[in-house]
Formats: sequence, C-alpha cells, structure tokens
Amino acid sequence: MRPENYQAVNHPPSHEYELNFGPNHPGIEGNYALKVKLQGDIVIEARADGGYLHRGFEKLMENRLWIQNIALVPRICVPDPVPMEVCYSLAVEDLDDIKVPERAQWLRVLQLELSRIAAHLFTFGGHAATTGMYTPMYWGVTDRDLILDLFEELTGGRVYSIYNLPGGVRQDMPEGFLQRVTQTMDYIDGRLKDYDNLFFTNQIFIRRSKGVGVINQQQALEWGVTGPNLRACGLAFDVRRDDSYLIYDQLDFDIPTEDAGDAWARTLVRRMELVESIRIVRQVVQALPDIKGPVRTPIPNPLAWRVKAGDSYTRVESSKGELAYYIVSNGEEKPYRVHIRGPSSMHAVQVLEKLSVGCRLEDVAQTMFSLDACPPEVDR
Amino acid sequence: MANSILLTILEVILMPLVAFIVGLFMVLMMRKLAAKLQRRVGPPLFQPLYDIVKLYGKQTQISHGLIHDIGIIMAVGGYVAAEALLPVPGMDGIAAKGGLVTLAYLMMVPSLGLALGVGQCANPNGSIGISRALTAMLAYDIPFIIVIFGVAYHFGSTNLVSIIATQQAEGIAGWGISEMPILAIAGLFALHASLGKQPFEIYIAPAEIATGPMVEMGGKFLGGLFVMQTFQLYTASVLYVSLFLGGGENWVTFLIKCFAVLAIPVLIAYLFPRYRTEDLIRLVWKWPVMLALLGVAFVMN
Repeated sequence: MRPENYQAVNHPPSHEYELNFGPNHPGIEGNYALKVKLQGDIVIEARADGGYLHRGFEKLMENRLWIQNIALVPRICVPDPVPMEVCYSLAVEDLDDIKVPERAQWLRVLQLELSRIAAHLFTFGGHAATTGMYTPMYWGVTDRDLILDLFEELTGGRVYSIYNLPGGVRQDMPEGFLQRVTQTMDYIDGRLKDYDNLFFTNQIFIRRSKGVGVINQQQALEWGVTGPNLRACGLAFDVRRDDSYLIYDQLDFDIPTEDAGDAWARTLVRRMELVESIRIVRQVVQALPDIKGPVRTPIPNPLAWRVKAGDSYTRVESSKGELAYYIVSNGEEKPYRVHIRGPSSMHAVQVLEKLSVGCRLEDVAQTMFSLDACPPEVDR
Repeated sequence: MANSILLTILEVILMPLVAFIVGLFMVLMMRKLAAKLQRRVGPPLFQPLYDIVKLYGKQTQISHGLIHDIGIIMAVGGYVAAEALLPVPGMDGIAAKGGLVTLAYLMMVPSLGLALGVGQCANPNGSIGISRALTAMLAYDIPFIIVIFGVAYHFGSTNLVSIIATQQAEGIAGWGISEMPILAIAGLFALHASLGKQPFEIYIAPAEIATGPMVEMGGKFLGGLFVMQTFQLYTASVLYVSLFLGGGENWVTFLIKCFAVLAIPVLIAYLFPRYRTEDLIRLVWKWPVMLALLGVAFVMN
C-alpha cells in the first residue's frame, strides 16, 4: 500500500460491542430485529430492522377484489386481527355509502372487545416472559384460548375469523352464544385476581419494569404514540370515545390512564383496560337480545363490485393503539390505493429505537414487549 | 483389603450412575411441577431421558475447538467426580477420604468448565451469559462456604460420612436443621441460587441473551449440558439433605428428603421473574450471608 493511501482504521473502544435481538430471538416479538450497540450493559445505539415478514399487504390489496381483501387484512396483525377486518369494512362502507344494520354493529363491538381481551392476555404473557416469568405466559395463552373458542363458535375461525364484511357481519350468532360469552367473562373476571397475585403485584416484576422505557406525554405526541402506550403517559385519548364509531357512544366505559409512562404503567393500563372490555362485553350481552333485525346489508355481486370513486380515512382503537385505513377508490373492482396507519409502525421503529438508547441490556426485550408491537404490521 | 478396594471402585462407578438416574427423575419432577403451576400437562415419564438420547444421537457437524469440547467434559466431569464424595444409603464411595472442602471445590468446576467451553465459541451472548454465571457463582458461593464452615464447625468434622452418622445417631432432634435452623435457611437460599432458577436465573435469560451459555450448543454438547443439569439437581439436593436432614437412613427416606428439598426452589422459581445481576448480588450478599454469619455465630457459641 502506498503511504498516501493508508488510512488508520478506527476500531471502536474494546468495551463496545454489537448484539442482534432477532430476527430469531426469544426477546423479540415475531420475525423482527433490533440491532443494538452496547457499552458494557448500556445500549448506546439501536436500529430497528424489519422486513422479515414483508408480503406487501398494501400492494397486494390493490390487486384483489374489494371482498377478497377481507381474507387478507387479518393477517396484518395476528394477535389482534379483528380490528383489521372492522376498520377495512368501515372504510369501504364509508366509500360506498353502505348503512350497516344496528345488530351487526353490536356484534362487531362484541367481537372487537373479545379480541382486545385476548390480545391483552397474550401481551401480559409476553411481557412477563421477557423478565423470566413464564407462568403468566402459559396462563395468558390458555385463557386466550377460551376466547378463541367463542370466535370459533361465532365465526368458524379461531384466529382469522373473516367475519366482518362491508355491510355487516357474515352470520348471526348461534343459539346460547351469549350465555357462553357470559360464562367466559365470569371466568376471566375471576382469574384476574390470580393474575394480580402472580404478576401485577409481584415485587420483583414491579422493580424490574418501573422506570424502564419512559415516555413523557410530549414525546408520546411527537412520536405518534397511541393506544395504551399513550394512555400510560397520562393522556386519556381513545378513538372509541373521542371519535366514536359503531355503537361505542351508547356504551358506558372508562378510559384508564397512568402517569409514569414506563413499562410498568403500560402494563397496568392494559390490565385496567381488560376490566373495561369485560364491562363492555357484558353491556353488549345484555343489549343484544333486544336488538332485532338483519346482520348484513346486501352488497352488489362481490365479484363485479365497483365501489364508488373517492377516498376514506377510517380509524378504530385496536389493542395496540390507533389503527386507520386510508383507501382510495377510482370506481374500479379493486382499490386504487390502500394505506394502513398501524400503531406498531410507530411503536416498533422510532419509539423503540429511541427508548432503547440508554436502556440496559436486560431491559431491551421488556421495552419492546411493553410497547406491544406487532411486526407484520410494520412490514405491511 | 483387596475386597474393600474393589468395593470402593464399584461404588465410585455406581454412585454417578445412581445420581444420573435420580437426577433424571428430578428433572421430570421439576418439569411436572412447572407444568402444574402453568396449567399444562407436562412431559411423560421418560421425557428427560428421551431428550438426552435424542441430543446424543445427533451428528456433530462443527466444533468450536478443543477447549470447547474439554469445557463440556469439565462441566459434566466436575459433578461426576462430586458424586463419589456424596454418601448415599449403602454407598459411601470415597466420601470418608474426601470431605466437604473437596466437594465444594468440585462443585465449582462445572461453572469454570462452561466458562472455558463457551468462551471459545466467541458468541457475545454466550460470553455475557458466562460472565453472569461467574458473577452469580461469586454471589452464592460466599453464603455457601460460610454455611459449610458452620456445619463443619458444629459437627467438628468436614467428613460427610461422620456428619451424617452423628445426625442419624441423635434422630430428628440431632439433624442439622434442628440444631442450626438459621444456617439451614441460609443454605436453602444458597442452594436455590446455585441451581440458577428464578429469581436467580440471570445467566440463561433467553429474552435477554438468547439462552447465554447454551446459545452455541447443539447435539452432543447440549446433551452434555442436559446431563450436567441432572447431576446438578442431584448434587445440590443430596448435599443439603446430608448437611441438614440427616442424610438417608434408607433409600425411601433419602429420596423423599431429596425430592422435597428440591421442590422448594422449583416451586418458588416458577412464580417469579429474574433479578437484575446487581440486584441478585445485593440480595445474596445481604440476606443469606447475614443469615449464614448469624448461624455461624450461634454455632460457635
């Protein structure tokens, strides 16, 4: 090498090293990666690395019929797929001026809240497992299965129900279904005490999660944080109440908040939301028998259905945060453009990257799980 | 004389085998208890054995080098050697000739072996795991050594055979746990921490360091670690039974005591998350060490 071409290589200090969380790692949610640079135990740099689940949902939707997309959208968020169906259906109904029957709206709310309970139970387990506590994970999965049993009975599908269509829902509920919903809610309500004793009042867990991944309210708003993560910063914003859809304005429920904005507060908000969701489900169960009528407004032949030209932005409150669909139709048989504003795109990329810096190695996984991100939604 | 040497050799061969078989059932009990708490069915009777057979049946494609291989052998070998020093009903092995100090030393060998073996993998997760494991060892070995000192001082011997004989001669009132209850509590703390179960499970930590020392292990190497675990559970519980519960008068009482002792940390483990490293050290150097020192003070009076 000629001396003028010589450039000294700048090696990082020996106490700095890189570590990959994912794409195949017990500390990451799904096929996702967080590449961190550490100095000792402290993260000094973090880069979110998605794309491992990229199927191009938005683009795929432009090449499918309006009705075909119903089978596609639940796959964007596996743990909480129902809001995907409902939000897409609401957007298409808005575009084509379809009025949804009241009974269908109540059924949708029932399914949405059951899905929220199932998703939160799943999240508690995941969060607990990142701190080495596996019992709540097994409990959460088992109790979630009871709700999947209800979904199977109502829709035929356990995870992807494909129950909500533009115009309403696919079918009415089977006989005795509401009774079984009540039984399941009673059971889960009773189990909350066990979860509290094991998990939510566990002093080691509280010590480990308090002060981890702190977001203040201003940061939350600047970074696009929504859902339970926003409410854990003290801001009582919930699309169900503040931009009400379906029949949520007829229901009585509270918006739980916490002020600390840390991993502990986020988990606690979800715990309180579980109670509120059970409350909503009970109200729906009480009201549904008196609401008669069809569950679906007929739509034109789905194979040749041309939705009116225009655009629609529709949002719902999923268990992860604010979920919105922006759909543009040019009056053809397929959408012209679909954009999904998913909560995980914010939480798992910019928020996670920012919160990880300064975080300790043992808290990186906990920070991600406390944000409750959904990787396929990032890769949409 | 020749017969006695032959008998000792036979016992030295048999004792690790017995330890392995009992250890397999201990692993099974641990998994079954976890399953019960977690509302699962749990594995069938021979699952721990199937796991080991399967892992040993795998072809090894790569090795990280000689030190890596030796490290695993040290990890298992340390415990295998320790078994010959742990008397069981009907077999004393070389326990009368060894002693508690040798046993304590041998129980440290597996961690050092793992450190050597995993260190050569050059995987940062493994290295962090080993650094955590050695830190944890530094934490729990202090109360462990104080407890051993206290017991040896109380019985006037470091010979486990005579410690057990003294306890058995006096009945339950003469057991270590009756005469030195504070030391027994400190010993249980140290035993729990040495097993590396929650809340002391800082060096496996799958969500943090992708299972740490095990991250580069597969096939026979992972099988080796499984075997090590069976010996680890056996050694820790038998040592505790020998020090505080009068050892084994016969196989039935011996096994009941061993499994009961092991059930305590196992039941606690599945109800707690893991500590952070510094919290673990703070806790172990505070309460068990304080209890152990208090226990020794009582013993010395």
